[in-house]
Amino acid sequence: MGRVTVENLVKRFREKVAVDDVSFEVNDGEFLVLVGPSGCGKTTTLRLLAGLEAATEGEIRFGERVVNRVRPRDRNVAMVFQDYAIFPHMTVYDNVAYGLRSRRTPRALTHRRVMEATRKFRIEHLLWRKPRQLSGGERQRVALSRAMVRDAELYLYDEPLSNLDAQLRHQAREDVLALHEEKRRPSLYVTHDQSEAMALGDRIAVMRDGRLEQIGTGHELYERPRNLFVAFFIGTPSMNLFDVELRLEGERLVASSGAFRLRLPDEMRPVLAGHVGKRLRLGIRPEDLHVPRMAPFPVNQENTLRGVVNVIEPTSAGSTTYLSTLEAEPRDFVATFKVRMPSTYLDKEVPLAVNARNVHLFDPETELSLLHGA
Amino acid sequence: MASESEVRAVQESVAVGRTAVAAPRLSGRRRLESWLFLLPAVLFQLNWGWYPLLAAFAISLTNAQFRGPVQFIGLDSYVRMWDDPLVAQAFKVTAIYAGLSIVLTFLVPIIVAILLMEMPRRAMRWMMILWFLPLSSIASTMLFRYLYNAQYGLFEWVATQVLHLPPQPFLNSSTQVNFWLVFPGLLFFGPGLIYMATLQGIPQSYYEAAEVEGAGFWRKIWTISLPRMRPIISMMLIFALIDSSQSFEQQQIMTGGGPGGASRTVVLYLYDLLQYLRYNDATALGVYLFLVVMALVVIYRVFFTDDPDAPQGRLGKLRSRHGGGES
Ligand SMILES: Nc1ncnc2c1ncn2[C@@H]1O[C@H](COP(=O)(O)OP(=O)(O)O)[C@@H](O)[C@H]1O
Ligand SMILES: [Mg+2]
Repeated sequence: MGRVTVENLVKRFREKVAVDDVSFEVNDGEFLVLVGPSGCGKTTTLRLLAGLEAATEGEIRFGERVVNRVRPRDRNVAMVFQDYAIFPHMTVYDNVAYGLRSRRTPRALTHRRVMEATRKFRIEHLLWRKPRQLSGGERQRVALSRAMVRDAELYLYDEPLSNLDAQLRHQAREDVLALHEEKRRPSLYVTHDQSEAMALGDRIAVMRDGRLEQIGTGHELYERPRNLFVAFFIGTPSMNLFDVELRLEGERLVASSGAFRLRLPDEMRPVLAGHVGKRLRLGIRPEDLHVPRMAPFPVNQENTLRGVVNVIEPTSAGSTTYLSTLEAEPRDFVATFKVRMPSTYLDKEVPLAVNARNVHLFDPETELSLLHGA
Repeated sequence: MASESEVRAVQESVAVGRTAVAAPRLSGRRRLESWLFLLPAVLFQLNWGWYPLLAAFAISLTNAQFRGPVQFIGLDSYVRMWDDPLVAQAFKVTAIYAGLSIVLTFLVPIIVAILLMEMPRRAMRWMMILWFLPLSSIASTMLFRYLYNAQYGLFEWVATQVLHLPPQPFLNSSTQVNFWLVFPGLLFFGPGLIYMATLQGIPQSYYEAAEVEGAGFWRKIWTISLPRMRPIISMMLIFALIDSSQSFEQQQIMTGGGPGGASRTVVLYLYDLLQYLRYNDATALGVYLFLVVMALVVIYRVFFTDDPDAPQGRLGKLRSRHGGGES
């Protein structure tokens, strides 16, 4: 019953199409993250769901109920705004109690709810302060508490962590998830940060220019991106992309560029048969490039890519290495290793083993994936 | 030399090994600078604010004669004014006038401004043009004197011909006169523009958050618009108080204080005293008025915090603990 459905939603501001034929559902208890670059229509989508904007076309349903014409106050949604929109002239207590008082909740119940929520988010000692006397993290927790005190049908979050520093953000993610665990209602969370999306979402919807590019679990998006945009947007560091030509050399399917010749697995032949002789975009995730003697697969000339090391960045997991290809016009690419790369490799030419099973191929025109179709 | 001592203070604290140096107190030079910045304002205030006030106070303690020697007569003028029944009446008239004027020309524009903001943009622009016609106050006061005229005024015509009421006395009635004196102020609507500018400055997201939280029209006004307007309302209220308690022009032009002193305000009476060359009495009356207005402003200031976002005062704490329920 609690599922929220969006069907062919369109929002136009004069000529500007902010949301362009978007359809998705948020299941009961699901935490869906809407991710995409700035200006792609995420906030507009949330505002449409909250009722703060009227849809130009399409339908929004809460359960079976079509809510397109329902006012925000009657939709019973809770929303955490990007700038929190807590009222600066009210105490923390009054801010958190605002929604319950608007709905004429009995005073004792209001009080109990406010106390519960503020205790949960560790601001119960700040109840009589005004927002100006609070830190950014505390303000954010006031906004979360305000969403928490009510039993809404849908919880909306508009980049609630983007104004926090890295340290606080981690704790705040836990807080958001704690709220969701408690309520178990449909939740839609907006962010431009794909790593936040990966960390939080049951499912993730990727948006670009008002359109929904792909929706699925973090794994699905990472392993089977449907197009170039999703492939490049999901994952840090981003996927490496190379222009290649697809050739059939005897029985062997080869992706060839000025810098390397990569043999593709035989299983790919049926899918790629129609593209032999064409120019394609080859995608290799940074972690699918290995130090040859540590590669978990046999290494030979046909799956080796050579590059010059430009920068080595130690990380907690090992190292991130920035290289460029050996060709007339070198291309930069990135590899992440599970080991520390000694700095003696700087400016040296190194061979890297490519895990050809995990590569991606895209049509340069349509940008659609050839391996992971719709 | 001042900066030297500052440097030494810093060196000392570093030498002791304190890492967090307490904010240095304002050095002599900085204090001098801040006085220099204040100087124009202070001079201005002394010359046009305090000097006349003190001079008036000094005059009120003398017999204030042009001819003959000036004599110190102490509080005689104050006692005489205190016992003067016309003074009591003037204060009463002023209070009535100020009360009416605050309700009509201070409260009404707030309500109108809030309602105007809810109107469609186009309608709002037209309303604003109508409300904010730049009218000269003396000229329009003269105009109103004719409008109120009992024989051929527009108001009389509306009352008798349109509303079919018996002929109305308007300015000739001691019960109505103060209302009709205030009434033109309603049409000027000057403060309305300030309120609307303030309303436009309130972030839209407050209203949106309130809507999502289930607030309706009145609740949004009560919990967001009015609190956000508080500093400006507070300022305008003090202006209105000071302004209306010194009201004089309208009465002078339209009624001359009549009928029977029913519109003779304190300042108008003061003006009358000056006409009779009773300078000492007039200044004493002026000092009384000053004290009353000052007392009102001070009382208001004590009980009212301008800044809606400031930490709660004692009053606010009490209120929210009561509203907040019992823990
Ligand atoms: N009220 C509006 N009027 C006109 N254009 C708007 C309005 N709100 C948003 N837009 C436009 O719609 C697009 C999507 O905006 P938004 O949903 O805020 O993006 P995001 O939240 O993903 O950064 C942007 O190009 C923005 O300029
Ligand atoms: Mg946004």
